[in-house]
Parts: sequence; C-alpha cells; structure tokens
Amino acid sequence: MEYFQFIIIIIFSPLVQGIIKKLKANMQGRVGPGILQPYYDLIRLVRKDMVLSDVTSWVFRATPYIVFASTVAAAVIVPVITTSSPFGMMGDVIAVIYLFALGRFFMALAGLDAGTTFGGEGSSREMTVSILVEPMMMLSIFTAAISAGSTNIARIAEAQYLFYSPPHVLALAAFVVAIVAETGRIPVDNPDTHLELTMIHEGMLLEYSGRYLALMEWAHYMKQMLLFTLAMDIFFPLGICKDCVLPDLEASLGIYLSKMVFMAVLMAFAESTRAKLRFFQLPSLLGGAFVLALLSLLTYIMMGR
Amino acid sequence: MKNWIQAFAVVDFISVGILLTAIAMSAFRRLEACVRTYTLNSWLLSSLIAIVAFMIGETHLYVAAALTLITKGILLPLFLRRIVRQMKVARDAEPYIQNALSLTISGILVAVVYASLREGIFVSGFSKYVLQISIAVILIGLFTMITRRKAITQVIGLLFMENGLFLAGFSLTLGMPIIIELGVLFDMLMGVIILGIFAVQIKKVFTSSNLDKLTVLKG
Amino acid sequence: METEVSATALLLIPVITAFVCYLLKNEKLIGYVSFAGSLVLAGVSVPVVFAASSSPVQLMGGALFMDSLSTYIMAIVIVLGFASSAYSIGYLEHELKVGLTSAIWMRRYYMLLHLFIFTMLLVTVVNNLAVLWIAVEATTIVSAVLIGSGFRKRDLAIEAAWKYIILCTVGITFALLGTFITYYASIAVMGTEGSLNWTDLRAIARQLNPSTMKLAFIFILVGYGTKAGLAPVHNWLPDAHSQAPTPISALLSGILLNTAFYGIMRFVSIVEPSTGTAFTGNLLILFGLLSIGLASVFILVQDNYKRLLAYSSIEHMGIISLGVGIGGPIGMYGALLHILNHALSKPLMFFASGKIQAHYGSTKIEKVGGVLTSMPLLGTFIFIGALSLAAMPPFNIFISEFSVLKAGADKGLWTVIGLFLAFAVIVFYGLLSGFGRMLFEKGIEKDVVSSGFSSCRTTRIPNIIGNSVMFFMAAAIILLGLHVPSFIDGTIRNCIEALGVR
Repeated sequence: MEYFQFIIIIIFSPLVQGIIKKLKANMQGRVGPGILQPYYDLIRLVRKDMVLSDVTSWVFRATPYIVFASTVAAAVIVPVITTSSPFGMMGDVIAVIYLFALGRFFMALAGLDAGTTFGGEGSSREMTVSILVEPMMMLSIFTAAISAGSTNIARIAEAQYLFYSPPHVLALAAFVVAIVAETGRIPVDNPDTHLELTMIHEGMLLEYSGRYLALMEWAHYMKQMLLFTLAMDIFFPLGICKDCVLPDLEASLGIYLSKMVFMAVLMAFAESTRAKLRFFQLPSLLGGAFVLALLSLLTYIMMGR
Repeated sequence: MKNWIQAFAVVDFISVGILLTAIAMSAFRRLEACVRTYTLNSWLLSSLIAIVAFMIGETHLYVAAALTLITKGILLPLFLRRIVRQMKVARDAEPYIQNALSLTISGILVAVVYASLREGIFVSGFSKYVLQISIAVILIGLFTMITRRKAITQVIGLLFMENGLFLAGFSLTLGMPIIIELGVLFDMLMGVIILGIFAVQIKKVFTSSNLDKLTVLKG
Repeated sequence: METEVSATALLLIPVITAFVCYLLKNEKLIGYVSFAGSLVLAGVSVPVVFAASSSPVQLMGGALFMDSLSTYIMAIVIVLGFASSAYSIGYLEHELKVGLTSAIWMRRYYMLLHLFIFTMLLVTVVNNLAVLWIAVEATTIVSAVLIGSGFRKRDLAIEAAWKYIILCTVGITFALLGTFITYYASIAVMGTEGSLNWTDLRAIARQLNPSTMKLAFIFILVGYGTKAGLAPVHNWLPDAHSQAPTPISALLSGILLNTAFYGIMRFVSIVEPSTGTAFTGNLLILFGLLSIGLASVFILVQDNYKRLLAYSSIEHMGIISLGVGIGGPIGMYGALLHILNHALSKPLMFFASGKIQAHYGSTKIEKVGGVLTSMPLLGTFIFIGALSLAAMPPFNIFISEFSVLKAGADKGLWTVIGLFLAFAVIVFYGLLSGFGRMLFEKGIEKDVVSSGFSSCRTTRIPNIIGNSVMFFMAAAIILLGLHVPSFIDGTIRNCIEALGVR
C-alpha cells in the first residue's frame, strides 16, 4: 500500500479543488458548480481537439508532460498517509521544492513560447512571485527541519515534536502565505478570472487547449493538494502512521482527508474575505511573510525549543 | 492553572507577540494602525508581567502590571488618538524607506541583537530571550523614529522604545520598587503629553505635520 | 532636625513660589514675587549647605542624601536661579511691553522657571539613582516647555523644543537601561533585593561585576551625555539654547548641563572601583575631546551670537569631561572648579546678549556693532565674559583649564593635551572675533530699539537689579581668576574626597 499512496493525490486533487470552489461560491452567496465539476472539466478537455500555434517550439509541446511528471514525482516523495514509504529516502523537502521549481520553470518558458503578451506577463509575474516566495518557504521549513534534525519529510513528520510553540506558529503562518502565493489564490492571484490584471497562473496557460490543458490543470490541482499535504506533514502531522497495517491505514486515510477538507475550508475562507492585492503591493505582503519566517527561525534559536 | 500556562508556553507566545507588534509597527503607514499596534503591545506587556507575577507569586508585580495597563494600555492610546484626530491626518507621508525594506531591516535588527547577545552576559532561560526581544524592540523603535517623517510616528517610535526598556528592566530584575515604576511611568506620561501638545503646535505653525519642515536651524 | 526642616523647605519653596506666581493676576508683581521666592530659597539653603558640606547628611530614612558634591552643585543652582529670577523681572517686563509675550505666558514662564529650579534641586539631593533619572527627565520636560515658549520666531522655537525633547528623551531612555543594569549588578552582590541608593552602591562598588558595570557605564554615558551636551549627541543643544528665552538659556547652559554631568560623576564613582580608571577615563577623554573639537569648528563659522554661546557651552562641557576623564585629584579639581567658573561666565554672557537682542532686535553678529561705545557698561561685561570664556588670564576659566592641562601633563597624555591646546586656540580666535566685531566695529544703527531694558543707565528698579546681578558675576569672574577663596577650595577638596578620587 505504501507504494501507491501517491495515487491518493492524483485521484483526490480535483475533488479538493471542487470543494474549494463550492465553498467560495457559498460564502459569496452563489450556488456555484458542483463538487465533482473539475472531474467533468478534465474529461471534457481530454476529449477536445487541440489547437496549437505554429510559432511555438518543442518546449510548448513538452511542458505539459514535464509539469505533470514532476508533480507526480513530488507526490511520490511526500508521505501522504504513512511515513514508511520505500521512496522515503528520496523524500527530502528540498527535492520537493525543486521539483515544483522545475515545473514552474517550464511553465514560464511555455508562457513565453507562444509570444503573446499575456503569456509573457504571466511568466514574468510568476517568476517575480517565486523569487519572493521560495526563500520564505525554505526558511519556514528549515525551522521545522532544524527542530526535527533532518530535512527528510518523513523524519520531520515522525518527530512529532511540539508543533505548538511560537517558532512553529510563525513558520506555519509564513508557510500558509507561501501556499497562497504558490497556488495562485487571492490575494496573490485570482484563479477564477482571465482578466489581464489578475492573471499569473492563467496567463501562462492561456495558449493551451485540449489534452495539454487537461494535464496542466490536473498538475495544478495536484500541486495544490501536495502543498496542503506538506503543510500538514510538517506542522500538524497528527494521524500519520508509521509501519501500519491495513485497518490503521484506512483510519489514517480518513484523518488525512479530513485535514484536506479543513485546508480547503481555510483557503476558501481566506479567499472570500480578502481582496486581491495589486502586483506592486505583493513585495510588501511577501516581505512581511518573509520576516515572519525569519523570525520563526530566530525565535527558535533564541528560545532553544 | 500554572501547569496549563506552562504547557501552552503562554509566556513564549506573549513575548513573541510583543516582538511581532513592534515589527508590524515599522511596516504600517496609517497612523491609526500604528497607535493600535502600540496599544496591543502595551496590553501584551502588562499581561506578560501579570502572568509572571502569577507564576512566581510576587504581589508587587500585579501592581506593576496594573499600572502599566492603565498608563500605557488605556491612557496613552486615548491621548494619542485624540492628537491624531486633532491633526486631521490619517495617512503617514511616504516614509524614507519603503515598506518591504523597512520590514526586512527590522528582521535584520532582531538577528543582530540575537547574535550579539548570545554570550549570556546576564542570565539564562526565560530572562535571556526576553532580554533579547526587549533590546530588539528598543532598536526597532529607534529605527522607526529615524525613518519616519510625521511627528506622531516619532512619538510612537519613542513609546515603543520605552516599552522595550520596561521589558528589559523587567527581564533583568523582575521589576523595580513600585514607587520607582510609578515615577518612571508618570514621567513618561508627562513627556508624551508635552510631545503631543508640541505636535499639534507643529501642525498649527507649519501647517503640515511633516518633520521635513523642521530643518531650518542648521550649523 | 534643623537640617531636615531646612531640606524640606528647600524643596518646597520653589514649588510654592511657582504656584503663587501662576495664580497672581497682577503682572507687575509677579517678577518681584519670584525674585523674593528665590531670595527665600537662598536663605533657607544656607544651613543645609553648611551642614552637609562638612559631612554627608542622610535625611528621610536615606531617601535624601547630601554630601559636599551635592551641596556644591545645589549652591550653584540656587545662586543661578536667584540671578535668573532677578534678570527675568526686567526681561519679561520688556517683552510684555514690546508685545513679544502675553500676560498668561508670563505667569506660565515664572511658574515653569521655579519648577525648573525645583527639578534641578531634586537631582542634587536624591540618593536613589532611579529617582535621579526621574528628576533629570523632569528637567527635560519642564525646560522643553520653556524653550518652546518663544514668541519671537515661533517656528524656530518649536523646532528647537521638539528636537530637544525627542533627542534628550531617547538619550535618557538609554540611561534608564544603564540604571537597570546597575540594579541587576547590585542584586548579584546584595541578594534578592538589590539597591539603587548611591550610598549602598558605593559601599559594595568593589564587588560589582566589572563587565556588567562597563556595559552599564556605556549606556549611562550615552544617556546622560546626551543631556550634558557631549558630542556626538549634542545636536539639540545649539538650537535649544539659542531659541530659549534669555534667562532660561542662562540656566540651561550654566547649570542644567552640569546637573547631567553630576549624574555621570556619581556613576563614575560607582563604576571605577571595579573596572579600574582606564575604561571610564578613556571614554570620558574621548567624548571630551570630540566635544571640544566639534565645538571649536562650529564656533568659527557662526553668525548668530546666541548659537556661538551655545557651542561654547559644548566646548566647556567637553573640558569638564576631559578633566573627569584624566582623573586624579588635580583633574577633578579642575573639572569641578570649571563647573563653577562656567556657571559664572556663561550666564553673564547670556544676560548681556539678552540686552543686546532687546536693543538691536537681531541675534545676528553682523547686525550688532559698536556696543562698547554706545553701551559702555554692557560692553565691558561682554568683554570680560568673552575673554573669560576664551580662557584668558586673569579670568577664572583660565585657572580651571590650566588645572586640567596640568593633570594631563602629569599623567603624560601629550596627544590629548596637544589636541586640547589646538582646539582652545581655535575657540579663542572664534569667540574673540565674533564678540570683538560686536564690541568694536561701527554698527548699523537702523533697527535699534532703545528701550528702558537695554540701556544700562536708567534708575528703574528692574534694571538696577539685573545690572547689579551682572556686576556681581563679573566681579566674581575677576576675583576667582586672581585667587580661589578658601571656602570654595575646601568644598572642592571635600567633593574630591567624597567621590573617592585618589
């Protein structure tokens, strides 16, 4: 079973996206699409014809596969319901971040490839945001890693240290901001519209259609769920089991799914209660989160806990 | 009750909260927001004193906590809000340093304080990191005073410095005799009142509360 | 018993005078009431001063402590307070007549003047170092309101008062941190209840942790040094002292800076037994030389005579710091005598420049000229004062500066002495060229407002009082330059002993 825990991510990620959308709609007073709508979207997209621009190169055609593959690889590494995975040795958190970076790099290239203004704009903004976000994410994870003594996610999750202490709360706050930025949610980016002002992620995907678009969207859902999982593993690993048998694994799965629902509710709430920031204000927000992450590391060293 | 406080590391959280409000103040531009962070800071400070009083069992610290709460948590914010309303400004002028850079410098100041106070000249444990936090708050207050243009934000920076100082004194010696605390608080209150009066005068005479105008006397 | 009554009266009288002045509605009387108040204060202080200068006196269960150093500074405070209230009668009357102040502000001025004197007295009589801090902060607050009350150029006065209060409060905050660190050090030696009483700390001074005390001293020096006008934290001084009303400038320069230095001296006597004299001495010498150097450069380029006098104050505080830093009995003697001498010369100069400002209507040197010919008595006072400030024999400041020099030579600090002499020469040139222009050159008689105040010849009572005060100060300057009377000499020697300087 440990070999296949990444399947959970592949299967359930559109569901998580659907839940977030439905919750957002309800909070905003609309009925909204059904929870399973992302599945229907993916199936529909796969069945459609693709329209490819002639000016694009091999990068454009290779990117969907690269992005999807790198995200699946990250899913393999991250412990979902059990920490005793045979791939566990490779499960270094730095590797996960760099797998995401690989996907992001190719997406940015693909956005530039088509030569449209929206694509270029999306790519440059995405790169700017990631420059600000990655150090923050690294710092907050390092705080947890230092207290657990290893950067291997499985080890961090197993350490079951006191996740409730000021350094960890600060790191969690910074990491949540990082998640919001990485998954392209309000206040960093608006995932629902295709207006020029609000496109970072959507800008890079604008030229894609059909099968390729399905792969990219699915990879995006998976990345989102992976980030949630990462946050839970590092800061709230209660319920993850180690060396378990099947009944325990089912319990673990249940706990995991409820944690995902909790994160979905949190995201929906955060999105509905905020306005999107203008792009030049982003450094203030991300800078503030960076200081939070820095503080978490400093307070950890200061307090020795 | 004591075990509950210890298990939940309340003291740690409050200390970090004090540091966070100081850093937040260096990032906020609106005057009302700055006054609110100061209020929060003072409340956290007095609750810290009260909780330590509870844990250790020294009654005179309760009085100190109450005094701090009344002067810094209630009277001073009321006064500051009145001054802000009298000056009819809501936004700070563009500070000399941008928001993000200001935040980063505050973070760096904290790191510097930690690095230089690592060799425990003083005590260890609770007092040590509270001392580091207090000196960080003093430095952040000083930094804010230097990089802001409005008179009131300079006063608020000064108040943060005094809060940090109070915390430093508290962490070193668990408070001074009450009569001294009373005297120091009263002095500070008088000082801030005079500063507030002068700030309003600046607005009246210079028709702008921007401190850039106060550079005539040179040499 | 008598001393206790006198001491309580000593502290109460200025407060009473302050409130009486505020409540009086008759403008003509207020000045005389305040003058009477300061006279009574001087009378009441005599028994206290005599009792305490021979042997230390502790009153009110150790809350008040007076030894010869306290009484020395206290006596100067009272004498200068007396002089200022004497001069204020004529000064404020003139300002009221010319329309530069209002009746309500006059009452506030007198009230604040006596409150100011009270806070300075408080600094000298308390035992507890934290209460000392409170008193110093109180002086800042009261004097800030006085500085900002200038009517002549409102915007400049407010700017000066704002800088003053902000910079001094920031500085004093650091001094409080230093006080806390000292308290912490005392807990380590004395058990759970440490003490901030100077007497207790002096007794255990040798056992205090050296590195802790070094840290404390740095904060104290930065903090009280800001208040005392030592460079590089002196920036508020030229503005504040030039924009304040003239009698207040006299008090500020003459004695307020010295009370801040009093605090530093008390701390030096606590810190030195454990850390040795080298640490504190070097720091004080450094700041002293920096102050003298900076002041000398700025004196050269001044075009405003009040600012010139303010920078001269910075220079002289630097000399005092140098004296304390060089240490040894001769250095301390020079520093302490310098406090007295400066407290005589500077207020004289400020009083005289107040009259000049009233007469010529401007504080710029170029607008003033021919003072010696048009107002001979005033001109003579300025001449004596300027020469005294420039350390010219046979005036008093020369003696104290020479003592500091000799102490430095005895200890072999040749670079220090060399720099000091170089700066002193620059100051000499700057002061004399500035004031010389005012005294001798033909002036522009355009804006002259010849009022009863500035003329030295009238027989009106306020003028007589003001002029006689200035006369006595000038006489004292000359007398002290020729021979230091034995009672002053003895007092200073007692102070040196009280501070434990060997």
